[in-house]
Amino acid sequence: MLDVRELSVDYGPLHAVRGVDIHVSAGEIVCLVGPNGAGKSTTMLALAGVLPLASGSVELEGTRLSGFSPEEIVRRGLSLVLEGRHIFSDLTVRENLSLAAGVRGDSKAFGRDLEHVCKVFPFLEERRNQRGGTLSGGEQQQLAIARALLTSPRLLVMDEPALGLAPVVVQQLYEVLLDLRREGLTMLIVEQSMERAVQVADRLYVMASGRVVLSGRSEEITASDMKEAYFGTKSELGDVQ
Amino acid sequence: MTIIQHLIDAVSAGGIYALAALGIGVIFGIMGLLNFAHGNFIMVGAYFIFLMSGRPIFIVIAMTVVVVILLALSTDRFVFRPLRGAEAATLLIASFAVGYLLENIILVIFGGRPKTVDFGHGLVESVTIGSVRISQLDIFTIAMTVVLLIGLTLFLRKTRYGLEMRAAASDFRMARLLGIQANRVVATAFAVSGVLAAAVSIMLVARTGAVSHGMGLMPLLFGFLATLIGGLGNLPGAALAGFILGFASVGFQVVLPPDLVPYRDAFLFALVVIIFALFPGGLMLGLRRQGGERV
Repeated sequence: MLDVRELSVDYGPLHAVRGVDIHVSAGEIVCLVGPNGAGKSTTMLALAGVLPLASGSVELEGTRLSGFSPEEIVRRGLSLVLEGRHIFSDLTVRENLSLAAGVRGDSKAFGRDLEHVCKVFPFLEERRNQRGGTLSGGEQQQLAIARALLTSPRLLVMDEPALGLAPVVVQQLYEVLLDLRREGLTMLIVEQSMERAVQVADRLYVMASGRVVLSGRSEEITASDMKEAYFGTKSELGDVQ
Repeated sequence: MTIIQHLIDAVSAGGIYALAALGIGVIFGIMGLLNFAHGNFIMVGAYFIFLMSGRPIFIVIAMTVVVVILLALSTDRFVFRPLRGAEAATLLIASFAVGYLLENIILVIFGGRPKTVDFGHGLVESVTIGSVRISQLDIFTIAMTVVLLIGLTLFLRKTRYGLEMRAAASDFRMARLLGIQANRVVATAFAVSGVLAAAVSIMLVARTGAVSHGMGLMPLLFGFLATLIGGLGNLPGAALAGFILGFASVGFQVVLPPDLVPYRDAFLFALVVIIFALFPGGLMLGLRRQGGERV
């Protein structure tokens, strides 16, 4: 579904991401993990058109995404939930959700999807007239995901959806994401927690210093491989438990 | 009863400052640009009224609004759109350049001397209610301000374009990630700014009966001050601050001894300095910002 080839992103003279290849198949959850500063968020922003590519290409189901603006890319089926939720705090829950209607030509289909996301996240209906900024962190994250779902994405990309949330909230959130996967949604998730990534993802990409240093099916990647990719060679660190 | 007349004067003056501030604030909220050309939009609108003088007032008003909207939209299309993504300083200098260009075009065409305008002469008469005399000009100014403030509020709250503008003003990047067209939102903001600039042109020409190439400077200055006092990007704050400046301006006019009245604006700016010293982020900034991360 998603084919990222030789993606490079520069911040001025700094090469933030270099030669990254990522593949996501339909119906998969793929996690991108790695230490802070590895280039994960930069990669997500580049996929969504927020940052320009220095080189490489991004295709979604054979349609080129690279070179297009964020608003054009979301119309082509890739929706990004930014790190930190980015709820419009002065807008009500309903207004936050209705913003996504702009990319939809069919208002009936949007209405049906709105009904569906309100079933997935029941608090949305109860708090439809509440301002987004007054929701709890977990509710804001769910609102951000619901809002992205309403753009009718073929690929939902999430940058650290668990960041800053209580463990019980994270667990509930990932249960919902797994339900969405069962409904056929394809997801690419940036995740800080290696343990959580291994639990939920079909496949993993580990990034370090702007490159993909390890990739494979979750069940095939051992903890030792992961630690080696994260921290360097085993010989340098010894036995990291 | 004198106090009621002073209050009316204050609301009338404050309305002009509030509309100037909103015109500046609506662009700042979306683009982070302090548009120095806004005063020149007001000036061009005033000169258009001069060109149209003698024609029916409602036709002049409608045509002025259209012309200033087109001017604002053209500025966005041909100056700011090519600079999309540029740094704030670049946009600021570009807005200076646009303002300078417009002023010099007006100077070349009309010369540097002020011109008298036959516009709204029927508004100079007063209406007496009890012992209070209210000029029709004040009624016109206040009514126009009220209509525009209600109209702007309804536009921002009840329309799709307004919702998109509010979202873009809050978080432009996130708005784009939801498919909101950046160019359309910015163009809408410029169009709204154009309507507000045209309204200030109409009010100023109706009040002074004259146009000059420098007439946009004072509304620009007071608009900026109101925008800053209200908290940059905070539209209700900017409108409120515009009225505060209007009340302060009339207040100084009333309370200062006659010898000091010519220095009224100096006292007003001293008050502004005190407000900034006490509230560096603007009076209402704290109400606007979101409450930070929550778990």
